[in-house]
Amino acid sequence: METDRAEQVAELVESALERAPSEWPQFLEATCAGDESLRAEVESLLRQQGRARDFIEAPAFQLAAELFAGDERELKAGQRLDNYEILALVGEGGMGEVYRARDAELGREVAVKVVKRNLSTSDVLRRFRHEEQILATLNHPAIARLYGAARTLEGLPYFAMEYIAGQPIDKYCDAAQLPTGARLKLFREVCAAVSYAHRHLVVHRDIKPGNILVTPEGEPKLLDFGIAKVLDPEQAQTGTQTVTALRVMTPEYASPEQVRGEIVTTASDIYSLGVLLYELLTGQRPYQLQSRRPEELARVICEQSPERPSTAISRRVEVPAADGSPAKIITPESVGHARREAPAQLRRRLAGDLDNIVLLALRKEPGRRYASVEHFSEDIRRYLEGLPVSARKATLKYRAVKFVERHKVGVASAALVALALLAGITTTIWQARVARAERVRAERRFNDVRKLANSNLFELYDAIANLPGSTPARGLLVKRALEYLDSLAVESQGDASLQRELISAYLKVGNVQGNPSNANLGDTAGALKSYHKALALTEQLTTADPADAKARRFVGVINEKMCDVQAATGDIGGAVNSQRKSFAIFKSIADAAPADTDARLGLAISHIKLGDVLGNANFNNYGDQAGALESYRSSAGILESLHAADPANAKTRRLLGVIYERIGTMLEGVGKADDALAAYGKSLSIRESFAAEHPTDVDAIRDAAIAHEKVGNVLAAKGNWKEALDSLRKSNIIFRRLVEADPQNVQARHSLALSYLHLGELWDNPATPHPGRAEEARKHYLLAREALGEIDVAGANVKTRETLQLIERKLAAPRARP
Amino acid sequence: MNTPSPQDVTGILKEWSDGDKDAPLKLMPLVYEELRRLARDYLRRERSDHTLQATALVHEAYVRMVGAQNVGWQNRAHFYGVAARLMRGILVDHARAHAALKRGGLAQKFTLDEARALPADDASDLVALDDALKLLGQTYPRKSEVVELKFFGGLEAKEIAEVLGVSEKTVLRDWNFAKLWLCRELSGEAGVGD
Repeated sequence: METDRAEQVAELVESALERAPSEWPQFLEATCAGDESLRAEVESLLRQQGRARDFIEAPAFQLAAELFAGDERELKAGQRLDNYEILALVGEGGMGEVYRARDAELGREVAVKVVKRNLSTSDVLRRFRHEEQILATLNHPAIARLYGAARTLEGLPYFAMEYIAGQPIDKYCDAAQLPTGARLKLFREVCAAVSYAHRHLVVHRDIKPGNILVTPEGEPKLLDFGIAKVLDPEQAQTGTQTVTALRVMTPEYASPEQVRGEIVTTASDIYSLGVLLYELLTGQRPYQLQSRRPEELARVICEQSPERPSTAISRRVEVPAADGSPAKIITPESVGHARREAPAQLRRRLAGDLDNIVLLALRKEPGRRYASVEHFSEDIRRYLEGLPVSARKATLKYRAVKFVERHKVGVASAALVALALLAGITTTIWQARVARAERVRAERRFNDVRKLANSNLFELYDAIANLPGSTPARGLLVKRALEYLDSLAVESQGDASLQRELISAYLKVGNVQGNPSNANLGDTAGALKSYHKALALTEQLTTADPADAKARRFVGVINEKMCDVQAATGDIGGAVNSQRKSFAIFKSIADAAPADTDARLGLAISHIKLGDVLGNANFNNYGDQAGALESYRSSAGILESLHAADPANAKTRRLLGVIYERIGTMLEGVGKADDALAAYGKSLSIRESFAAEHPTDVDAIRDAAIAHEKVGNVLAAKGNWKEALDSLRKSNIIFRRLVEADPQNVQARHSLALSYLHLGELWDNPATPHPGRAEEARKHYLLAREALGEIDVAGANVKTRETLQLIERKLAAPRARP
Repeated sequence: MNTPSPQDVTGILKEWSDGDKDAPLKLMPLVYEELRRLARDYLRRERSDHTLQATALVHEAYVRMVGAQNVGWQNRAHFYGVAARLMRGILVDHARAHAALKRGGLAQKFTLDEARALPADDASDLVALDDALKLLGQTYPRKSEVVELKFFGGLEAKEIAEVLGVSEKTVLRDWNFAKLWLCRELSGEAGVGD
C-alpha cells in the first residue's frame, strides 16, 4: 500500500471514529468520493469496532504502571476517618497503607489499614476483604485484633486493628538478654498463636521475626496474617512498592515446599517456626544464603542439611546489613552474651534435645516434621521440664529417603519437585474442603491449582518425559493430578471458567496417560476415562449455556483425542465413531460462519483426521481407502481456497504440504505410482518454498526433507533408481544439517538414521544396476547405526529401538554380490 | 560488560531528554542485560503468569538501574519505552518457544495438534499479536509503537506522547486505529488495499 494511501485510510478511519456510527455512511460517501476500494478498506476496519472495544485494553504492564502512579498517600495526618483520627503513616504493605490513629471514642491507639486508590482493582479489593475476614475470625491474645471495618468517604475500604508498639522478637530477646529458657517460653507463646490460627484453618505463610512484635510487657503479637495469605508470589507483585517486597516469601524463612512450589500448608509454618527458633537459640540462621537467585535458594533450602544449633554457635559470621550500615558480626561470645551464658555452656545446653527439636521442625519433607505446632510446642515443654522429648536424631531409614539420596537412585529431580508440589496440593485441597465455611479461602486455593493445572504439572511432565527411568514418577504424577482434578471437579459446579480449565486439564492428563500422538504412559483405558470426564464437564457447560461455543469446540477436540486412543487400542469402529462426532461439530461450526477462516481451517483438519482413521495405512485404520481419499480431497479443496484468499498464511501452506503427502500415501497404497508421485511433488514444492522462506524453522526444513524422501521412495519403487537416489540424497543432506545444528536432538538423529536406512535399502535392491551396490548398502547401514549410536538406546522410545533392530538385521543379512 | 551503575543509566536517560537520538540504543543493551538476568531468575520459575512477572521485572530493573533517585517521569517513560520493547521480545520469544515445545511427535509422521490449538491458547495469541504488530509497523510505524508502549509497556497516553514527541490526541487516534487494524488482521479478514 502506498504511504499516501495508508495515511488517507488512517485519516478517514480516525475521523469516522470521532463521529457516531450512524453518520458513517454519509461521511464516507462524501469523503471517499466514489473511490470504492478506499471506502471498502475503511469500512473493513470500521467493522472491527465491536470486537476491538476491549481488545488489548488491559495492558501487560497495567499493574506496574499503577504502582508507579500510586505514590500519593491516601490519608493525611490530622484527618478524621469515622471515629479515628489519623496520626502518622507507619507502613506500606502490598495493597495498602497502614496508619497509626487514635480511636476518639475509646481513647486507644489503633492501626488503620486502607487500600491504595490506584490498586483498588476488584482483585485487590477482594483480597483486602479476605484479610479482614481472616482477622475477624481470629481472636487470640497473641494475634493483633481486628476492631472494625468500613469505607473512606471516597469509598476505599479500610479496617482498624490493634496497634502494637513493640519490637521484633529477635531484637527484643537480644535487647533483654533473655536466657535460653526464657526464649523457649516466649517462643511457645508464639506457637500458641500459630496453632490457634491453624485450628481456624489459617496458614500464616510468612512467619519471621519482623511479623512477631513483642510488647514492652513481654507479650508477643503475631501480625500480618492477611498479608501472608494475600501475598503469595503470584499476587505479590500486584501491590508491592519495594524491591525487597518482590521476594515475598522472605527466603531465609521459606520452607523447601515454598521455595519449590509456593503452595504451602500448616507444615510450612512449622518449618518457618523452626527457622525462627534456630535463630532465637543461636543468633544465626540455618543456612548462609549467598544469593537470592531462586535456583541457588532452592538448592540450599531443599538440599543442604542445616548445621546443628549447638555447632552453629561456634561460627563467626558477618551478616551484611541490607540498609548499607556496617555488617553485623556474630561471634560465639556475642551469642553467649545475649543469652547470659558462656559459649561452651550454651553449646552443651543446645546439644542433644534442642538440636533434635529444631532439626525435626526443619526437615525437608513436610510430612516428616512435627505433625502440628502443638506437638512442636509440647516437645519444648517436655524439654523445659526435663522430660524425654519425641524428637530424635534422624534414623538411618529417614536419611535413606532424603532428597539427596534419591538423586543417587537416578530419579529425576523434576519429578521430585513435582511430587512435592502435588503433595502440597492434595493437602491444600483437603483443607479447602474442610474449610467449606470459609469459602473465600477455598476459592483462592482453587486459583492456585488452576494455575497449576494449566502449566507446571504438564511442563514438569514434559521435562521428565525423556529422562530415563522416570516412568514410575510420571505415573505417580498423573495419578496425583487426577486425584486433585477429581476433587476440584466435584466443587466446580456453576463455575464455568473453572470447568473449562478442568476440561483442558483432563484433556492433557488423558494425552499423557495414553494418547499415541505424544509421549505417554500407555494407559489407554485411563486416557479414555479422563476424556470422558472432560466430556461430562462440557455437558455441564452446554446445559448451562447451550450456545457456549468454546464448550462445543471442546467436544470436538475431545472426540478427536478419543479417536486417537481408540485407534491405537484397535477399537477402530469406536475411533471412526468418535472422529465422525468430532467432524460433525467442526463442520457445523464452519457452516455456521462461512466467513470464519479459522473455522474452515478447523474443518480441513478434521477432514484430515477422519481420512487418517478411515483408511491411511500409516495409522490404525478402518480399511476404507476410498473414504479416506475422499476426505483428504475435501480437505485439500478447503485448504486451496483458503490459500487462494490468503497466500501468505503459513498454517494453510503447512497443511497443504501435509494433505498432498497424505493424498500421495493413499495413491501409492493403491498402486497409482504416477498419481502418487504427482501428489508428493505438490507437497514437496509447497514445503520446499516454505522452508526456503523460513530458513530457521526446523519443522519446515524437516517437512521438506520428508517430502524429498517420499518422492524418492516412489521413484525407487518405480525402478527409477538414479532419480530416487537423487531425492533420497537431498533428503539425507537436510537431515544431516538438522543433526549438526542440534546434535542432542534424538528425534533428528532418528530421522537421519531412517534416511540412511532408506538409502541403504535403495542400494541393497538387487535391481539397482551398480557394481559397488553391496558395499554402498553396507556403508549406509553403518552410517544409519552411527547416527543412532550416540542415543541412549535403553532410554529411547520404541520407534528408535525398532529402527536400530532393523538396521542390525540389515547389516547381518547375507548380501548377494551383483 | 560491567554492571552499569545507576549513574550510567540515569545519565543516558538525561541525554535522551536532552535530545540525544542515540540514547535508546545505548540504553537498550544495559536494560536488556538486566532484564535478561532477572528474567532468567524469575520468569522461568513461574511461566504461568507472564504479565505479573513482567511487571515485577521491569519494576525491579528500573529500581536497580536508576535507583531511588527522582529522575522525573519523562525519564521513567523513556526507560519504560525501552523496557516495553525488550519485554515484548522476551514475552513473545517465550510464548513462541513454548508453542514450539508443545509440538514434537515423531519425525516421519505429522501430528496435527500443532495446527489445532485448543480454545483459549494465550501463548499463541501473544505470538499472533506480535506478528500482527510487526505488519502494522510496516505501514504505520508510529501506530505500532503506540501499541507497544501502551500494551507491553503500560504507558499512559500522555507518556507515550512524550516519548514519541506527538500530541496526546494523536496517540489516542493512533491507538484506536491500531486496535481496529490489529483486530482485522487477527481475525484473518484481508484488507482490500494491500
